[in-house]
Amino acid sequence: MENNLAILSKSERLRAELAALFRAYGYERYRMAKFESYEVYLKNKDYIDGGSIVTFNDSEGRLKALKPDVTLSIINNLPSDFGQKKYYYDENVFRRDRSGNYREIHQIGMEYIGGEGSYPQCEAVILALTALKKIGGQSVLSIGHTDAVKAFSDKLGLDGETREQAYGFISAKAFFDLKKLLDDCGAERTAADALIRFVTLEGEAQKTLAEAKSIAAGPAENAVCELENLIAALDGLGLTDGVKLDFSLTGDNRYYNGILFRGYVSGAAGAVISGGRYDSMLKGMGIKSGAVGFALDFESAVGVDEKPIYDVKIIAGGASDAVAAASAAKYVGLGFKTVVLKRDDPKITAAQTVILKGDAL
Amino acid sequence: MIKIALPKGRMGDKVYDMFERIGYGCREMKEGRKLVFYSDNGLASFVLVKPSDVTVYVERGAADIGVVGKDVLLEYQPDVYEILDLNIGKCKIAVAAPNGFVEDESAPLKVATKYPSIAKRYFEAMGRQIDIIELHGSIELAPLVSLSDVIVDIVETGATLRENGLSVFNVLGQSSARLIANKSAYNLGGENIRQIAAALEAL
Repeated sequence: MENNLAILSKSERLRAELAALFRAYGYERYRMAKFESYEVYLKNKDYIDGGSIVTFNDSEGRLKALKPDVTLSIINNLPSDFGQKKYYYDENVFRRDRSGNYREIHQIGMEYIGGEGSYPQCEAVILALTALKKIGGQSVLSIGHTDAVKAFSDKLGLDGETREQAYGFISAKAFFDLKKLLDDCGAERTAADALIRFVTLEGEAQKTLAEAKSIAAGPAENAVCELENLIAALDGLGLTDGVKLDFSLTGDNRYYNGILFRGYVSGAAGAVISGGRYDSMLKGMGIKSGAVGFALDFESAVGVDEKPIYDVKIIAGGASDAVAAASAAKYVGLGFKTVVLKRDDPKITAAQTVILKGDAL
Repeated sequence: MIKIALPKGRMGDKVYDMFERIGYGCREMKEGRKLVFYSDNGLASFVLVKPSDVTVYVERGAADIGVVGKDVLLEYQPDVYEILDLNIGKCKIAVAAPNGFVEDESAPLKVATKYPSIAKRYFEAMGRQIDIIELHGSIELAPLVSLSDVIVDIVETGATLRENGLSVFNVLGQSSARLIANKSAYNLGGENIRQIAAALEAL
């Protein structure tokens, strides 16, 4: 496999490696139709902003959407009585950004629908961590739990607009605004302080778990226990390096429940991986089943220059073409991916640099 | 090295003073026409950009942190962390109109503003149809020359409004300068970001 992948460009290699990873875990590829009925997206307009969908009318006047979201498409096309379905995808989706400009987003991801207990989410996190490592560079997976934040908010009796505002402040880590909001709406002081302390927690998994346990009670405690089990599983596989817990991760409770996670890689400005559990969304669509998945923003991921592009970089300088060619042939013959440059270029990276001097090899 | 985006103008000067007081002074910034400055302690680089561009620099990772007004954050809604309220540049975001203005509810309201998204969200929530006139400065002038019925703008002391025969009709929200952080930079380490935030908070 390694040898076959060596001739591919970085993006081709990453696509192939991710597909191989998903297939090894028993996922089958989902291919999305180019045009879908707008209706299903309209029904979930808070999950995917209706204004961001590229729409048009078909010949019979029906409103169609141009590939807006893979997860909703998968759920909408689930066979009846599906039991358990594991899909991966490699698709381009189309959206309008905030300024109304069209954007094409290349997403690779997985969805695990059905399956009992908490194992599916454990597998999703393992796949997300493995995918991050394949992207390369320095990476971190931040994991939170919507049910925990929900439990604290329920206890405070936050509803409607106040809850929406509170969640906005929490996910932006604007804890000063959260405190002001809770003060202004006359929230009970002890419960308000507990929520603020809880959502402020972030950091290395074991330490943050211990702090979370000391604050959480009731349903929030169950959520923290679930995270503890997850971390134990990751620990067993030696995967906790680059994992942090962050209780400011929240999501709309109509769609998300349970764990949520975001993956960050050095060199990419935003989260390259976004995922979590979304049984609630299925429930809203009349399907009683668990579901977990994540999407990887492929363009951001391939922009990360983690590994050197070449094995050997030959700086020819004043050396003759004959000397440069002989040197290159030597390294190519040894199986190294080699490049010859007249002058050094820091953008062209290699594991080893060879500087040729005059005619000496 | 941490990359910091500061807004040009009055708020930028105040914010720069705060950074100087926590040990991130930058002599380079006071001289010449450079666009990127390095702090004297060698730990940070600064760029001075238009306030509304601070969000772009930070969201897209060209800067790790930045300082920007809440008004700009509400308008552009960038995907960033908002880690500290610097408690400077305080103002209200308000609907203002000529004194004694009576709304003609039979027609869409003409609203002049440099905050089209904020204005749209506010009036949509009220179920009021509006006609947005996007301007980039001297918003107060619009109702005086019948370009608009009302304005949505930031109000500090209200002096400009008073001098021009305008008054505040409704306050949409409060604004102040915020320290924002790029999500990726904050999550991948981010220790220096937290240290700077703590030092600024302690001022």
